[in-house]
Amino acid sequence: MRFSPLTKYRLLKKRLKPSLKEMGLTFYVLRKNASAVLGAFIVASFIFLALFGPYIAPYDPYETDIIHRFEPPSPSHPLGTDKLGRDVLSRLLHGARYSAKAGIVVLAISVPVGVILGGIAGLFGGWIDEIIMRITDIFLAFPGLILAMAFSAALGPSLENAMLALTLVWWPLYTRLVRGQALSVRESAYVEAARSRGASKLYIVFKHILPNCLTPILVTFTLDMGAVILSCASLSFLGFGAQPPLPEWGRMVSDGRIYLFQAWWVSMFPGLAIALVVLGFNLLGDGIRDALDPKLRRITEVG
Amino acid sequence: MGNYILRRLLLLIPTLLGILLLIFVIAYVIPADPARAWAGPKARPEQVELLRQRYHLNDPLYLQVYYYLKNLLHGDLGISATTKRPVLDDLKHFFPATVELTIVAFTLSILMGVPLGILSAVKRNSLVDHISRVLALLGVSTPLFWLGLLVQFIFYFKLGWLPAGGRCEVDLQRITGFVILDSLLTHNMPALVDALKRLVLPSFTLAFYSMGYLVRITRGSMLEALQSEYVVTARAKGLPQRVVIYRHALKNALIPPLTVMGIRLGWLLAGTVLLETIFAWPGMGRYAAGSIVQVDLPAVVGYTLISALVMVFSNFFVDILYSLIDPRIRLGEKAR
Repeated sequence: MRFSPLTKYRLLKKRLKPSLKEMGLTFYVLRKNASAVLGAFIVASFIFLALFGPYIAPYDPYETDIIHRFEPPSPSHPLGTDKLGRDVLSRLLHGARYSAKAGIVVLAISVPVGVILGGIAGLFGGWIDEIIMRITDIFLAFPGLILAMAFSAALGPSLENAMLALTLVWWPLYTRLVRGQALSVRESAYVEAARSRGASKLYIVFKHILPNCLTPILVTFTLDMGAVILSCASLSFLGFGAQPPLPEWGRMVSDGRIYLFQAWWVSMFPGLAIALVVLGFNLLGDGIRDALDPKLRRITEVG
Repeated sequence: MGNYILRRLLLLIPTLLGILLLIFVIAYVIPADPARAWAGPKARPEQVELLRQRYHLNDPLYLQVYYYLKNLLHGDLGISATTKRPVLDDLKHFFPATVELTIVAFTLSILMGVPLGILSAVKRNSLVDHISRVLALLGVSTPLFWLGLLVQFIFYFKLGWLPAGGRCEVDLQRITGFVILDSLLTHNMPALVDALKRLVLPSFTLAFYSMGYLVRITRGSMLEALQSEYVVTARAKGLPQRVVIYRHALKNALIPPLTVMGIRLGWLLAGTVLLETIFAWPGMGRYAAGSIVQVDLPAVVGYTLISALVMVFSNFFVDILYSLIDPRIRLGEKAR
């Protein structure tokens, strides 16, 4: 039978209706939550700056102007100038994209890797599970930042290597998360039903296990975006990440550190920017968690 | 109980082996030229060649693993590129300072975080709850290194109340390496006062960061406990509010914060790297981070190993403690 485009659209709408309603409900709860809205606003501004920051920056972030070094905040330099007379605001605006890049790249690699490994471990069980989880445990035995520091020291200091180091440290968290979810879903009645119906493993993974992991992954993802940005800035602050003259925020704090008492604005504003962005992701992440799971309503902690 | 401890100890062995192997990969496999990385960027070619022979870097990988484990068992973690001394000696020297800072911060964060979390849950949606939640959120969101600089700026530079950094400037005989202990042992009051003053800023900064998580976890588990059936039962029996909260709910609610404390300790250790750098605190973290130009791989690797060991054993002790509090865990296998 052939349907006209309009009928097709109506059928599709009908089929999607339950999930659309669910999404609408989620957004409704999210919108009602003032702190989540604030978080979303901060995150949106951050994304905007990461995309367009360089175009609205008043000065070239690398242009030195020794005569005007360490100028306090003024109308011509709203956030002052640094030791080489570079405009702090312009550097800040250019720097947003490095933090955004770090967050996106690290999670874009570590989340799929972690999800796949965790899914395999949870689904197959047995010795595969044992091997994957023991490796995961070893990675989790280290304090994350210190392990990332060791990786970046071995790789050599640069922003790319810091991102690679963080990726190497980050995936085990997702492996453990997804494995736990997969294990509990695997035992559920509906997976049992699907299995007895003769559904393939792949079908069960995509139809039952992954959708059930989406909520915790989404929440962890949002919170982790802040955490990765924070860790990357910390590595850069220590000198393992971005190298000068790159206007990466953590690096800017570290560069201005020596002149803290002489020119506080050089290190204080980039640090404040990091704090705000991380706060935004935390607020949004908490909000999404509450909205997606109203039953829980902040009862469970996400670490 | 003894059986349980033995089983946990046996479980440590594969983890420890895994940690050693991962450290090997970081130190020997990842660097493009391990000898050069070990010697530091300023080393002369002869020195690099010497290192290459000393650590058998021209041999096949499995032999390198063998020599690495052998060296490790002899306490040889390589030579620091910054201090030119054996890394293990350096770490031993810097270890007490880091432990002191971590323990003080850890205690402070528990003293602040746990009561705040409980209060926040008991008086849910009150002003106290809102304030402690904002504090917790700020604690987990604020970059530690920035907060350190901020308090340094305010309390040292603007107000002049506390010293900017360092550990103890008064002459003090080194017995244990722990300044507080040493000054008490030698009855050196000026040293003790100086040490405590210098401890305030770094330890509170570190504690504030850790407190955030503790408030969130304690609040969450306390809320859950308060809604549980045994609390409803206790209330229905007509027990006073105080008894219900502190005798019934609290005991169960403290288990989740306790389990994360071992992990938190690892986070605190990571935090000390940042704070030691800022507050010129002569600990392992500052040593490992090294001077910014001279990335000191042996120091970083040695420090990473030590911190992993600290974390593994603190988790082990938490597990034991945990099983003492909750008999269910001792009897059945702990759910992962």
